[in-house]
Amino acid sequence: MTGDDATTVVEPVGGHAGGAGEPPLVRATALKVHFPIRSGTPLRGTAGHVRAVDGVDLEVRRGETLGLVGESGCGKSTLGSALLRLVEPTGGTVEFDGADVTSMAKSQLRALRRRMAMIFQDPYASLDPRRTVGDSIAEPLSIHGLYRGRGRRRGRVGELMELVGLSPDHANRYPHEFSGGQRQRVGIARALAGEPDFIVCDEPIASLDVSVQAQVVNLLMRLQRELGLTYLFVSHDLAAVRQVADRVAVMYLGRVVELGPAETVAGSPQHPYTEALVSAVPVPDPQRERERERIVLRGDVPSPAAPPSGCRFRTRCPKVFEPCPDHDPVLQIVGGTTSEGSLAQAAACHLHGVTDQSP
Amino acid sequence: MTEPVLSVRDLNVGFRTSRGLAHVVNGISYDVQPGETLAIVGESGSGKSVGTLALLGLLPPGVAKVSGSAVFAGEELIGRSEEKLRPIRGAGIGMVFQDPMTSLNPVLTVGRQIVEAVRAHGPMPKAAARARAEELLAEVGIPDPRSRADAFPHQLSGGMRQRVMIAIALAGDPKVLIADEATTALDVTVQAQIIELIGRLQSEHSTGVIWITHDLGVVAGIADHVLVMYAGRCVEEGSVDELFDRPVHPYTRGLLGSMPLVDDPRPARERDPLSTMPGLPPDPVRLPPGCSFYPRCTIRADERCRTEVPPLVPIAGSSDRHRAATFYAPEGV
Repeated sequence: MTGDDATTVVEPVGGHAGGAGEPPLVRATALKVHFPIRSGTPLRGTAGHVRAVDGVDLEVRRGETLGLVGESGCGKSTLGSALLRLVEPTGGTVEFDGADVTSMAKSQLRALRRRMAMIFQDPYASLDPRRTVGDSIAEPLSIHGLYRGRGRRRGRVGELMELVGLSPDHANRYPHEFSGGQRQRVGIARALAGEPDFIVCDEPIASLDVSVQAQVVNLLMRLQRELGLTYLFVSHDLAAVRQVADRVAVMYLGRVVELGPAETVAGSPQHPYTEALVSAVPVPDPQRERERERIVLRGDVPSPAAPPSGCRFRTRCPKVFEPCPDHDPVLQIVGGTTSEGSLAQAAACHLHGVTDQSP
Repeated sequence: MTEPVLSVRDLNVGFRTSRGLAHVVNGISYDVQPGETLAIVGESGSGKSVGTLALLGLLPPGVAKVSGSAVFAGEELIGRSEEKLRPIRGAGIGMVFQDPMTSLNPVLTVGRQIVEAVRAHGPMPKAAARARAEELLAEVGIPDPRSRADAFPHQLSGGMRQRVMIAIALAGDPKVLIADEATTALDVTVQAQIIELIGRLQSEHSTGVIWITHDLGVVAGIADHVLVMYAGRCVEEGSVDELFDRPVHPYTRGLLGSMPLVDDPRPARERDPLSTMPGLPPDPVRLPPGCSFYPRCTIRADERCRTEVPPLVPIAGSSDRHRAATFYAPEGV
């Protein structure tokens, strides 16, 4: 517990991906995305806001995989989209390689978009069913004016398909002719077409069977090694995130509540929510399942339109105490892992010293 | 061993398609003991759900061809008329499905839907049925059941809706509860709540539970006996410990190896890639002549693998309830 450095802004240092001192590839500062709730009555305007992302500071370092975990409605997918400015932030900034993405004109943004891509959960819904997969993969090439000319473009599509383990001979087939895993490979090939530096993988394996999940996870890891990619891996599946991520950020009700190296966040969680989340993930080992202590949270996640005062997790927290309803905790470094070159773990919890962030 | 509450023998389900008969379930046998959990594990299309729907006559009659035997409380279910199956659905065997939003009627309050279920199992005055509905909501852990009974499904969270589905399933006080991917659509912390709830209800009522899932992690935590399905066949079964500690069938081993572990202490970059199985399950219209897993199998221990369907036989050195359908006999399992 490090109660004294309570109000320090957390800037985890070092790590094997991206050296200490090198600026991050992506940086979000005080990022907010609020969605208006339309009132049922016409012309009555809005009935409040869903605070999907509500004040997030986050860095994605060059070459790393940052896992973003949390449960339905915590804002993790919205955060991923906001980093690419696929949804407009309500407040705060996003920088990509030093350039402020949030204030950029659309034309500038388009040029930058080539360097960022997204892989979606359901490749069937994200591919046009009336287009051949070859055409779908070629679309980003024509948007960005890459590999001009039919022959060159066709050659590039074939290369991309080979890169993700598909036969280039299948470029003229339609999405319905592929299995779920193959369609996800098409989605990955399409994401790679612009030769991006940064890819947001939004639940990329959630709709696949277990044995196919492993194939796609291994493919993503191989591509990262070969192409030097930086990933934000958004997932509700902590076990999968542990397999791929160097660092993990845990979200709850629009906020990052814990951040740190994946193995320490999962191995010795410092936020009571992370602790409950880790304990709830089933382990395929009956012996360990019998011995594990499971923290079963009571109640439901509160509405993100009206989050609780103070700490947002306090209504379900098994360790709630006096300061929780009145003070909104700051993400602070915990566990004495801050020495130069090692990785820091941070949690937003009063158990590590009472803090408050002014609204 | 006590008398099983449900005994299934050589269950086969085929679907008539334009391309011929799709062999979706091929000779499945199992027993469900009171108070025990049987987990049926498999991937999409393995036949794990269809096999249990067939027991309750819930498959479209013109399309599905069901044969074999399923004896529940001394009575044969297969081939029973719709009329004679109805009292068994719910009162004998209850079901909870994956998606409570599509199973609940969106325009009726949850209380009304539970009342309907309660009165379907026997005549009861409205007020008494309403009281019973509130009792059931309390039993499945819904706070303030009196006012929650007046809520519509969309006003409840996913976890709450699944609790309502369980309350409906319990309305008939079933001896067997079939949970078909009942926690798949839920978040892990909510899944933990539902698993805890079903476990508690099971021990209070000595219910036999069939838990159908693709998630081996869930299986490890809840099952007594496990049946692994592949292409409509049982490829391996055994006690939960036997199956996880000494898996024999190459498919079971592949499935276990493909799962990432949350509690492996190594950082991601020091981990080995997950083990994968190449290819896809076979087309149920054209099952391979030998072992259904043969096209994807990396071991292919025996020439017979390609031509003969391996029988489900006990494993040497394990209990006689640990059986696998493979010609491959690994050393020292």
